[in-house]
Amino acid sequence: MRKLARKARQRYSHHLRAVNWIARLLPYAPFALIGFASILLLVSSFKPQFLSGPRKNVVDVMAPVLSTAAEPFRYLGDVLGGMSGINQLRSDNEQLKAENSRLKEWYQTALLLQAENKSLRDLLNVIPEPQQRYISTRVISDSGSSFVKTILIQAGKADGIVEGQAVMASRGIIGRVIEVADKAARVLLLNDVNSHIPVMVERLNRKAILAGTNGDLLLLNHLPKDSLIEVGARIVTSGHGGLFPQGLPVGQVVKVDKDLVWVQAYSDPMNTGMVQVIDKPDDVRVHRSIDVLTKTITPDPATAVIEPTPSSDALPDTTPEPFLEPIQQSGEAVPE
Amino acid sequence: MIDIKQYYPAMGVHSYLLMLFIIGALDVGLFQTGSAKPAFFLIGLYSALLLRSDLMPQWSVFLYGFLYDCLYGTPIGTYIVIMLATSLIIDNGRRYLQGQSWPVIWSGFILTYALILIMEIFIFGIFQQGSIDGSGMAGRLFMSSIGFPIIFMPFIWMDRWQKNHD
Repeated sequence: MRKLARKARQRYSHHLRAVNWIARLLPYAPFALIGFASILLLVSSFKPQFLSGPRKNVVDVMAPVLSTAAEPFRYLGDVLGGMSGINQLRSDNEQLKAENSRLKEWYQTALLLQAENKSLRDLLNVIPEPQQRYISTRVISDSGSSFVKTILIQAGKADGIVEGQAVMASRGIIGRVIEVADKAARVLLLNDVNSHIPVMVERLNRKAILAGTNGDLLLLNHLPKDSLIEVGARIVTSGHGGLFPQGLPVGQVVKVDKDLVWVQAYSDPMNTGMVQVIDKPDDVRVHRSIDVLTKTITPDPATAVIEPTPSSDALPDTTPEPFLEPIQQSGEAVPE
Repeated sequence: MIDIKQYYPAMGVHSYLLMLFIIGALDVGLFQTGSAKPAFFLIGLYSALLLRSDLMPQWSVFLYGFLYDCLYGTPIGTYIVIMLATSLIIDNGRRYLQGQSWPVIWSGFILTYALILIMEIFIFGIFQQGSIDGSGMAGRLFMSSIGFPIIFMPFIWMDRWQKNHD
């Protein structure tokens, strides 16, 4: 028996040595994994596009799962909210009615101003600005981190989303699309430290860069030194760089500390259920060219461009048009 | 013939962890106040590493970290490093924590989560400049501490059930 054991030991000695060697190294395996992860971290920090393929795949797989998983919780939230908030709903209703009547008056004023603006533009032969189009969609996930402020939206490449598009909530812009998968896209929120967008102080017409700080307030950078900014000044997108359309509401100045101008965004980026992804601003001439091309290439109107822009030879329309025009709705209607 | 019954414990633990991972990623106002919400998955990870470390090999922690980074948009490697470091910390503290009273295990989690937040400050501090959202972090710590017993309990039940059926 002993002989047999000795023979077996001799025969498999190299295997035993290998197993022994692995067993000795095993306690260091976590450190090796941490080392490997640290290398990944270094590479992806300096090259953000690193491993973007697997990242997009994970987002694509998780998007439908998250969307389905959220439904019961949303329903539960609605039921609980409905049960506990009847008094709140009554007061909200009264408030909204008053606000609605005020807004109706403003709407009439806006229509008048828009018609006047249009006729003046026609008189001056101003090239009309292209209409902005948007996609409404739902937020399916938020990072909830103190350092990375991003959200995932339930619309991706398949819905026509592209990188760089502005994302708006009900009251103002909340961020921009930074990564697009097939079924979902990632939005970098305004309050993320990596977010920098070109803005303009309304009325003063001063251009600046609005930067995120990871906190609640945003910082207005690169403002001309002689700018007399006051608390309450409205901040809108400047349209510089061509990513965002001009004039989208962003927020208002809430604090001026020596050279630091702090801005509060109109829409809270972290508590948004539905968002609108705004098309990048295009030159109206490009729209017309696309229109002409699609008409010549695809005579079938069903497969043509979803929303044709007015052709150059069309008569000027005097009816007021909304600034934003929906092209597609993904999910439920946008709460106004 | 593979005896699938031997995989039931692993399937139970990892299914529960995946469920917590998905719930933690949801944008549902029900769980959060402001921007602070409980770190569902990290509570689950702490519980799994404490009670069923035999079912949580390092490579699985690595995979969870990778998934976390992909879904939350953090640079790949950030949460892999944080989770692996956390698993090492819990590995070292397990002998002390196992068999301790409920408040000690709870305090252990609060301490571990505070360490995770410090690691986050350190890692993000290296790669990006910006103010630290102290109130947000305190809120997350508070919410996670409150949510800990609710998430930890099913792990205890699962552990007991599995021990009874072994």
